Amino acid sequence: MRSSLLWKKIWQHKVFYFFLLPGLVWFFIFSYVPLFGVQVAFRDYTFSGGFTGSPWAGLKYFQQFFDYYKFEQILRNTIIISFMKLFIGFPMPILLAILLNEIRSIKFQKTVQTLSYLPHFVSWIVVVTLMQRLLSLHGGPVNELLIALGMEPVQFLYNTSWFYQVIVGSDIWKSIGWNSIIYMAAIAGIDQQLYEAAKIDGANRFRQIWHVTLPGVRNIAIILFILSIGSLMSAGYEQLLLLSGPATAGIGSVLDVHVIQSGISEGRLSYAAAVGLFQSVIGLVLILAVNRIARKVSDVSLF
Amino acid sequence: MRNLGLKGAKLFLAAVLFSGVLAGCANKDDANNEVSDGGASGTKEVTLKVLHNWNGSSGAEMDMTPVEKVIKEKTGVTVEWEYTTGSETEKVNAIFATQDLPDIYTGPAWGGELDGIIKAAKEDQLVDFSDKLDKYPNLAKSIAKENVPPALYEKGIDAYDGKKYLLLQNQPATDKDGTDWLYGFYVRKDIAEAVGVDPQSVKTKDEFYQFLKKIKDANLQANGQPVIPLGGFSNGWAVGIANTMFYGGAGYVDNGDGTIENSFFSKGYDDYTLYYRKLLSEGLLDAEAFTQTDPIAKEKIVQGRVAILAAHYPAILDATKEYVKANPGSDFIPVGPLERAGAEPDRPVDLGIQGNNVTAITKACKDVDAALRLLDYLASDEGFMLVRYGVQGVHWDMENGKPTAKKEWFDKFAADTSGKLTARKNEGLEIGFSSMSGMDRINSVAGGDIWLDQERIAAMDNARKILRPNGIKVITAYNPGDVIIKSDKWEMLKPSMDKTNDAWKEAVYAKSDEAALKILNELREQMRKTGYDEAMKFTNENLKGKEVVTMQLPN
Repeated sequence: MRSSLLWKKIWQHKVFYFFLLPGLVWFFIFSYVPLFGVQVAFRDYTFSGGFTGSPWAGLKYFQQFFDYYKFEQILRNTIIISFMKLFIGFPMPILLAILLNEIRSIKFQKTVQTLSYLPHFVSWIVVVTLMQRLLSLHGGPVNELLIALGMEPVQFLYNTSWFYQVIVGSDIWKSIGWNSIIYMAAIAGIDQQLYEAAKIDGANRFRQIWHVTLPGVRNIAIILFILSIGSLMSAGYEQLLLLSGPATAGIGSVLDVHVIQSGISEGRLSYAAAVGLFQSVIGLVLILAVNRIARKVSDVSLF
Repeated sequence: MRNLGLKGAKLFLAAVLFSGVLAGCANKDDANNEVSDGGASGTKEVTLKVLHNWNGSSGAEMDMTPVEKVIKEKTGVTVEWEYTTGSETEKVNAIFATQDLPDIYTGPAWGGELDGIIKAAKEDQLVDFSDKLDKYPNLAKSIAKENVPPALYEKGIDAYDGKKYLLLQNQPATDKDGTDWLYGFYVRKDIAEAVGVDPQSVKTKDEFYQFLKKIKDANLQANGQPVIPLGGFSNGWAVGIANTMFYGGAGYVDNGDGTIENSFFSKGYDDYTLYYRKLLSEGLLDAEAFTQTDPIAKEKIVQGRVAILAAHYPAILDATKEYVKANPGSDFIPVGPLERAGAEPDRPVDLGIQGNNVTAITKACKDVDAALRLLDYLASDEGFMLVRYGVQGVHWDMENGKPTAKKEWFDKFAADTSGKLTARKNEGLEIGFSSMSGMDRINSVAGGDIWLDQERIAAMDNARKILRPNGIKVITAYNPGDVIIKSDKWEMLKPSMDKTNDAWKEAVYAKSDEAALKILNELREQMRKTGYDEAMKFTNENLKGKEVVTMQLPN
């Protein structure tokens, strides 16, 4: 009975559901169809055999990965960088959304919002090229400024002392505006009467944020946090590929880059697929675990 | 009703937009797959896509250059070029993995690129043309056993049970041919004078270090920036060429007991790594040398911010042309000749001149005969001269039996100092055809490089006199690298062996000598774990009694 009611409702709002279609098609084509290729991780991939005709190899490539002498280093680096991005980068969009919400001049708010979105649309290759120009030891404006102020120039890029700051900082700069959109939407949905009630109770602006705004975005923040945990084994290949060099290889080699290098540069497609699958399985386990914890602790969960 | 119509219109619009997106993603190659009859020469006209897998190569600004017009008249083939910008090895792996194949592949005859194309041949991705070679004599000649170095012949040409998939190009046809690229360290003349060092007095590694230190201590400025003592081009090319001062420079070293070892395991390799670590940590080597892009590297050079460059001489002459023109006396001249580990003072320089390019027809080729016709024509003497010199009667003439450049074109090409060779490319030169023009016959059949200006010839001759006092010796011995791959441990070992260059660079940037050696030793341990000792045993057994390459300079 409930099921037929659901279908009736869906049919009633079919036009809205139609907007789901491109998203579903996208997920089907780019997320589900490629699952067929996962079998390559268990085969000795050949150009002629392809996905289905290459001979089976069992767990050979997983074993090779676990025996790889930099396995622990790569895993450790991936987790450290992802954790830093998550725990430093995750609250930033919430902070930005709250700050934007507190701006009273709509024109100024919109301008800041638009400017903060822009980096999201710039590719990493452009961002890194800009960073190389700005932060270069040889004539970069940042170092020129430091020298003009009587300070020593600093090698910001490809330097272990500045590596994490550069990686996390550039990631936040690029994603903060875009990621704040969803929180802006959540804040816009908060009942204004709650703010009025808080005001009557004598709450100042800070108290209103603390007792009304933050609880208002809590649920969406938890959901996004659970989803972010799923990417813990993925530190971002474009950024790390471009911003890590031989000087920072000891702390900057991550799983994503290892997959790209072994698959595309070395032509070891089965091995790369095995590493990628390992990465995904760990991600799935983490999502399930965090989802369970979140459900117990806060009653908010994905499923 | 009105709402319904509006909804319908919205749905229609959404569907149109969505289908537009899908259509935009569709393959548009169909437009280029035209095959039609009746060219000017009566042969079938066809457009073939050629992947020129050389990083940074580029084409003309127009679709059909004068040279391409002649090629079309002669063969009926119009070439649609694709050039690689990035790693050649990645490109060769990517085209076969994604099956986004060109009609003809042409690219480097070494390293991962060669391994990738041989793998493709073994997995039926290329066209076997062994039964057609009798119709194409120029191609047959270019891969005849006597015209290909033995190890390469066994590895890439005659490695498929009688089938033939690969063509080799640019191996010297005679002793008079073949190019010595004059790899080395080159210093700006004015800087050497400013620090009071005669570049030819620098012979040993310690003298080279002292020379760099003097440049740094002189606190020279260029364009408002400190001058970098030692730099290179993009991604570290070819900064590491001082390796020949520490071991033979080849991939393998002689143990002195009748066996060989991978040079990565030698003491010389440790010393070489620590030497570079010292240069880097003392600010003598550009800290960005291994990570910089080509534009950034060239920007430093054209602004006069690099004192010593490591590369081959033609690249340096091209990159510094503009700067030298604006700053007379700032031309780059050779340093050394530097000592070579284990070489007698009168030993000629050992160079590998064995052809730098392989070409194959992929299984996706829409007209194999047209592809062979094109390649055979390019490998003919007429084709060779066309793609090296341009169109006879237009760009050059035969005078007294010798090809001679027309002054108008010589001046036009010489005036192009940008280093991009745009003027030449727009005539159809330097756009990729010369990679596929058979054996190098530039001196024996043609008449030398007619487009070289006198200044450049003089500079090259001067560098040759300095760097090659005992001449050169073309390497004909066996390369252990071609034998070790036949070991049954190779599949396990290769991934570790592929990491040696990465480990070296990482070690150069290490915080201490101990940390640097630890990085090298960890990889050595991994190589041993993945079958290095067994693979070397196999290599040594197979090379017993044969002459093996253990001394080699880059070329």
